[in-house]
Amino acid sequence: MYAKRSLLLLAFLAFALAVAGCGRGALLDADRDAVGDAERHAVGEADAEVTVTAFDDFQ
Amino acid sequence: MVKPVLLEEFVATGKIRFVTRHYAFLGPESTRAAEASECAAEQGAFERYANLLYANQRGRNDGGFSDVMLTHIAEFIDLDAADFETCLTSGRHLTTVEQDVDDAIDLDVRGTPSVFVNGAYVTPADVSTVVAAIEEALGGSSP
Repeated sequence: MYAKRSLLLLAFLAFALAVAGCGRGALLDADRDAVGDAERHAVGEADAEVTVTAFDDFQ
Repeated sequence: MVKPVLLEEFVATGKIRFVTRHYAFLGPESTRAAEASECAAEQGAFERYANLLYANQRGRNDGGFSDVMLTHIAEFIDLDAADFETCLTSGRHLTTVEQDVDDAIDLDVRGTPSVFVNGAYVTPADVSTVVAAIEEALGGSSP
């Protein structure tokens, strides 16, 4: 009985984490679209795992 | 500066893509320099031109990035001066620069450089903080 409850709790936690993870991924994708909208001056591989965007002023 | 470190340690190894955008907020010469960099980009020289602009930073709006100086810098790296001057005089990249600034404001950018790693704002934008954010995004791998 005790083991069954633990398993149910673990399954619930796994499900909750998966849902939270999907939400976080969607949020990051949305942010990435907003930040990386203009890639005129990009260096590096187009399919690189990470995109770093820097806003800068020359003065 | 953060950019040279990232170019050497992460771009050269294929781990990141580095995107530069304008946040010209320190006055008219900021905007003009950004426009000039776009004119240099027309001749395939954005990075070289940008590096020289950084190397020639002076006071704010004191003539260091006047049109004459911006053209001299273009000549220094052997760009076609006539084409560059025509481009700069036309103001055809002003809208592009202003769009970048508008986007920066929308993203709540308040200073330079402002760095985003996969869309997440990283502050402060010093080398160790940005590198840590990149390594986290890469899953904890080192450069």
